[in-house]
Amino acid sequence: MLEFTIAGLALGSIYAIVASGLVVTYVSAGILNFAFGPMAYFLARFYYFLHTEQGMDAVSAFIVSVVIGGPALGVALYYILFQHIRRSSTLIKVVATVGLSVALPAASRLIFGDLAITVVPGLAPEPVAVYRVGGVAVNLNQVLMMAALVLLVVAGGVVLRFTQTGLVVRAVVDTEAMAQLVGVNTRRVAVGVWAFSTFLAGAAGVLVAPTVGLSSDQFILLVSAAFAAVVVARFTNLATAIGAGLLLGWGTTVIQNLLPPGSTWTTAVVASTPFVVMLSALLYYRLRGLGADENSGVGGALDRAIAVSDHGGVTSDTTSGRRSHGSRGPLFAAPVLVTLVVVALLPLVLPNYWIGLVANGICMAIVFLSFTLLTGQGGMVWLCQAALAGVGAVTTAQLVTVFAWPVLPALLVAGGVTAVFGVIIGLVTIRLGNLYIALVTLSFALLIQTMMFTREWIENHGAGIALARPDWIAEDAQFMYLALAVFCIASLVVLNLRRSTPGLALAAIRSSEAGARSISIGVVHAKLAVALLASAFAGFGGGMMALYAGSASPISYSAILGMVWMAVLVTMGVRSSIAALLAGLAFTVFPGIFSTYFDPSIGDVPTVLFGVGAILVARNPDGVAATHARQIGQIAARLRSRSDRTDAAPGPSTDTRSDSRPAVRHRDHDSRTKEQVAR
Amino acid sequence: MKAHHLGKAAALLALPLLASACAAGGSQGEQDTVAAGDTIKVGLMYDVTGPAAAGSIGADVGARARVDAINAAGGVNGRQLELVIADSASTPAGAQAAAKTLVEQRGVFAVTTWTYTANAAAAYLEQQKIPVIGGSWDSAPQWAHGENFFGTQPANAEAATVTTYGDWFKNAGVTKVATIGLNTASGKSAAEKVSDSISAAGIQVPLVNTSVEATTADFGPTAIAIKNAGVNGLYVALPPNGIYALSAALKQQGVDLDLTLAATGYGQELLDNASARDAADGMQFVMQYQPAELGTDATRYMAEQLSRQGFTGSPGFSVAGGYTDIDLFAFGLELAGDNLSRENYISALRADNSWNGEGLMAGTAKFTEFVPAGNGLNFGNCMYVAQLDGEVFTPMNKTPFCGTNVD
Repeated sequence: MLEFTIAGLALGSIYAIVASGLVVTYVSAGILNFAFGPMAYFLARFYYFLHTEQGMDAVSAFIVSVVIGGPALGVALYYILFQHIRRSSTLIKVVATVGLSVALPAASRLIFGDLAITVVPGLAPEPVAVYRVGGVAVNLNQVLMMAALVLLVVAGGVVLRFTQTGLVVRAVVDTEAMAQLVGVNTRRVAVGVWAFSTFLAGAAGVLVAPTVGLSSDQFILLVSAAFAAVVVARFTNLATAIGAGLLLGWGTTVIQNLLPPGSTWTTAVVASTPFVVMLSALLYYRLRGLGADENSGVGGALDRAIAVSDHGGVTSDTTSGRRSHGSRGPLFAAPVLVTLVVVALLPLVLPNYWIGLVANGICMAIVFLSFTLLTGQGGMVWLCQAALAGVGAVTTAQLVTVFAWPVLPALLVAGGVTAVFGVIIGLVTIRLGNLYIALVTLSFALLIQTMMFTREWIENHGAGIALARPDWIAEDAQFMYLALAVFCIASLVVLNLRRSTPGLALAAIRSSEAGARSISIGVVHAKLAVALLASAFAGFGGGMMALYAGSASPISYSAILGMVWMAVLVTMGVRSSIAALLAGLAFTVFPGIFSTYFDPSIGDVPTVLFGVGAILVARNPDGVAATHARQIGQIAARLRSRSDRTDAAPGPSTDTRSDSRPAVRHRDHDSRTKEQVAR
Repeated sequence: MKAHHLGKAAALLALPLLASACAAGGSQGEQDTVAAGDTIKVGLMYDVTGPAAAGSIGADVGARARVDAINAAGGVNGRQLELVIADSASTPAGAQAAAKTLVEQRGVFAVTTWTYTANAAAAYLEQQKIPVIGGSWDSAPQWAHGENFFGTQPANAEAATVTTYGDWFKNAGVTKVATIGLNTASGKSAAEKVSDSISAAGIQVPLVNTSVEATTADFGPTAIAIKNAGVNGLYVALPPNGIYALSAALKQQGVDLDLTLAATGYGQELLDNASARDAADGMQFVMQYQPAELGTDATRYMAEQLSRQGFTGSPGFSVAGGYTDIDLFAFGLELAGDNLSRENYISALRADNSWNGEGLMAGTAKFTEFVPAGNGLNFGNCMYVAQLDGEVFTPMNKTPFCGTNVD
């Protein structure tokens, strides 16, 4: 027991350090940093590069990579990203930091090479000294982990309580606006906080690397587990977060001792413990009405009322001067039809390889429509679509392969099963803020991944459950047409919902939830309808993806991959169905181009671009497709107005004046847009 | 300014569609038959990226060494070989994409594989009737009965249990063994079959753990479980990095074993890694080919070809895997003769019972019975073993150590 306790406390120290890094940025900047794990990974990989690959001694490498590199990365990210999303909606904050967490590991793989390194030297000199405490072995790296936590608590406590810097930081955390009024340079404090938090990420990364290895996925899972401690601390209480982190590390390690070694259940239970804790804590706080105010990170109501706006151009995803999509516009606009027709004609011109990729992309687009519904229309951030798609894939494969069902009924049942999941998640989260929704759905996805997808009958050594396509869709082109038909039907459902009363209600809620409530617009039914439909699409699309792949392989539906999916979709545009289609195609065709025409070593470039695309959402909430469409629309309007003016040249008349008015409005709109863009 | 950037980003992301639409000319057609004098394209699918990439380093070096040597000697039946590499990215989806890229986009004649995710692409390759040569340790059922699948070494779940491993542990005086396997088909079947072999020799196997994930680096709990099991022998079917990490953890726990036998791990990367070498000192490694330290004609020839690629030292699992994959592929080309088509190739190699990598392999393949050549859990149940002693490997047997099937 003692040996597990020591190992557990070492791991717990890392959880505690990570949790404090997360809490610090949450209370001071209002951002729960989903990219903390990838930041830690990046810096730890940098340390490994310097120390092991370049032969620099451990101390110098630590100073360069963590003491200097950490804050430098933090400051750079602050100016590139974090300062712009300070006062954005939770939706934007989550999406932008998720985008960063997609881009950073891929960038690091491009820079440092893509090898999961399992034997990683830590700060302790090799061979690592091993001490015996009461007959239990503890190595110097573990000692350093615990010492780092003690140092953080002591030094952090002293600085915060007894120094001028600590006073200023506490003032900014309490009320930023008042601090500004008394002359505190809050921007400098914000930069400092991000620098410190990133330093913590680097330190935690270097310390934990000998234990978990250097793999970005492991780091993301580690930090996701540390989220549990942050949630227990209700995002804001530093001491509780540290305590909870320690307990969590200790608890998971001790549980491992109590369960039979060698059972896959042991691995599953140990891996899922933090997520069970997180889910339980979230639900407990919510039931007791103790949830944190999601805006608490940027001061109270007074702050929001009197804040000096120094946060860049975009303030929120929904309140900038964009036109609401609402019920306006034709059911199928010309560009949409053109895109669909182009895709439908592809089998006539493309070799089979690309048709396969397009077919797979359309299947993914069906899954992506669930983001379009949930995030684009419902204004909710769900991070479990990949898990739902996986459940749909497994259900379809099981029904078709084991129970010999025909494909279409199996897909419908798969959609039905995930719809039930969706309604349950919807009911649990419907009145929660977006941060809670994101965390609940992330925990759900990780639980499905660690508990369900690891079952042997599903996982089948990575090969998954076989799922052969029936003869009528055996050819990739035939399958592509089926997928396209399904996608069109699903898009029509999405469009119809948007134009329906619940859709309009959702649009009203998105633009102002308080306003919508004040005129008695109900949230629950509309959001539940969206959750149900979106989950059904995810399940159905997941089944289609499995049909394309020939098997339902759970590793293709991991929570981390789900984040990449979201990044791709958000890059393209979260509101339109056609953006979902383009996102699906980008996700499959882009890597296809890289694997065909470029060296495998730069295969991560598409992932970096997807992540960067999601980061750009901070400045451009509409996504690439919508922005592009709007730009084309503006050009067309400008051309029209020019020809109108030419037509009107012979002389002013009442008629032409009234005709030219819309053109003038367009120009106004144009210049306004340009202003916004320039800002 | 920003609109300008967004436009660029949009153009960049619109590229896939455009490029795919233009790609009709990019496809290089399938290589169903190969005329005399033509170049034969052979694909190599392995994990260039992803969690398994660390265990796959050098597969391309080995393959390229063999291809270059064959080409330098005038090719096979006057035809030159061209190696085309595809990244299976350590995932089933990656393996499927890589197989499709090789066959449909790069138009290869045959595919060689060196990845545990190849099982995800096996159904497609079987349906396309592409000759597939590779390490059958991904345990796709096709290795055991797919006409177009030719394994260089076995680990498939349908293999029989053999006495080889049990005898090896017994000879070392071991009385109680733990077996640890990766949670993949190969890791699992290796650990379980070896456990059966050891049990059949009358040795206790109190701990069989086949739940280790490929990304695991924290072997502390596993080491403690091994310590608590009170064993004096250990068999490990993990990727090399996992083996080093586990041995470091065992060392920290002060576990002293009479014999640790690892399925992989022999190779120059171990000798070059001081901390791993320190942890793995005294460990023995099972090999399906002759260790370079034996200094036979076959190993000297291999070393010479590898050195032309800049590789010197002990060729590990992946380097040798790439090398033997191509060797078997070229062997099949010779058998198929001048009238080369995929169909001819498959039927010619399927009828062969003589490939042993010109003496390099521990056994001789019997493709008529779907039996590969390497160390065995099956009829070709022979192995070489090398032990790490300080900074060098010492071969433990000069001739293959063989066993028989357990009834």
